Amino acid sequence: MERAPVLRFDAVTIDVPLEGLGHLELEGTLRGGDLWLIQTDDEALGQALIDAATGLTAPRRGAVRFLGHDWAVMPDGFRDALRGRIGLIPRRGLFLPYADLAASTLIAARFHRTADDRALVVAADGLARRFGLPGLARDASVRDMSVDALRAACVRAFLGEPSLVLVESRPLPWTDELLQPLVDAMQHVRDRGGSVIWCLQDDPVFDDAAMPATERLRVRGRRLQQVDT
Amino acid sequence: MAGAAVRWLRGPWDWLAGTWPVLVVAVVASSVWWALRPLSWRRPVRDEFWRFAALAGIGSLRPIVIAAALVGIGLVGQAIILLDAVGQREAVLTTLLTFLIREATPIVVGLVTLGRAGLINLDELGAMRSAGTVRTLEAQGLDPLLLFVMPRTLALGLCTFAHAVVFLAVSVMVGNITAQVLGVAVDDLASTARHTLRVMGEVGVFVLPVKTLLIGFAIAATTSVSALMVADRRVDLDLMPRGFFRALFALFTVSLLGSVVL
Repeated sequence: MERAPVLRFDAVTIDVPLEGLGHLELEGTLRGGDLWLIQTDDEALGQALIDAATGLTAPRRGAVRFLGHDWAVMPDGFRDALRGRIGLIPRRGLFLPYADLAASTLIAARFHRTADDRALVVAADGLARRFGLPGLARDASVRDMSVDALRAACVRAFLGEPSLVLVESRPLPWTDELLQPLVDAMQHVRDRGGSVIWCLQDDPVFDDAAMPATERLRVRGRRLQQVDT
Repeated sequence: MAGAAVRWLRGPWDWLAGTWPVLVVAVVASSVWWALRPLSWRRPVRDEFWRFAALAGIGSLRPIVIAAALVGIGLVGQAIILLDAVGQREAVLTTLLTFLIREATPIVVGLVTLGRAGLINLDELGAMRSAGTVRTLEAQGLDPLLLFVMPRTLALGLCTFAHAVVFLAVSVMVGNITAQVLGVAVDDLASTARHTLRVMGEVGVFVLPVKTLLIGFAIAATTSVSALMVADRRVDLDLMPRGFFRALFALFTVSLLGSVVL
């Protein structure tokens, strides 16, 4: 039985805000259970791809469909509700600068879901322990680039059973202590019929044969091309 | 046909589209619209409203009281000069109270609100935009206009009105006490309070609430628009001075329009 498409790029051309690149052409369907590893030379490429996947930027040509819906032609409220089914581990801007980590971690779940606060805290606590935190972090002093902040970003991304998880490239390679829980959480999402796009730059994860990716893609000549491993 | 008519009517005003004053008006209108819809008030939005109301309301209370006391003392000085020149106590008091209610209170309270809460709004939203936090939130379906701008606009409007009431009460009270200490012929505090309420009725009971609410809305919307609606994501070095002067301009414009219309 064919798996349901989660994200579909239909002859998409997106603008990349990076001198010398101009645009990127995307074509393909990410189905439930898929994990795409995408290697880019520059963070701007990965960011442009994630922005297109979440409908933050409209493609110059073509259509990006999430769960069958074209981002370009849906009402604002519906679009925001659909984005509530996406978990994102961003490269920068992980948390609200004035709030503690717990509030920042729970903000999307508290906005989109109807589960009461206690149930969300219990779920987040469980995820936090899986990512190596003692519980839902409440420290306001944790900086965006710290490992604990990254762990909390992972908790936020996987909270609420997302249909799609997007992981942006990091300035530093993923460490072993974070990698295994991350791969496990990704596998859990895929087992439920969700899918994952993981953007990487110069990171050994991309070439790791043990990584259970369904596609390994690299940007070549303004297109995403499959890489044989 | 209808489309052609709309284009013809809109033609001379096309240059206005996307300019910050138009965006400010649009943000205020959409904030009020969203605030009236119960569905908008989800948990993080309610939290943001109370956080900013506490920050703007309690945080600005001391400067409001200090400013009110100084204005109260200044009013007595003005009263002494006018009494020397005109000599009609009742008319002088009514003139001063009218000026205090219609002009001085909204502007002074607006300036304190801008300095204390407006600049915090500008700084927080600007920092979130340049750090990429706004993009992260948008990608998760959290619209910054609904999550931050609407509750902050509403909180700032209500706090500005509440501060105006405190400001008026303190300035009248301090002015009366100062006049009594200096031996200027004035009524007791209760009579002055009754006189103030009577003047409020004469100048229009809605003048103070409408002006101060709109000033609070305008400050929040102007600082939010300046911080968030920038074409690219680079760090904006001019953000503070530009946002401050836009908000100042909005404050005086709303005050002037309020004085003319109300």
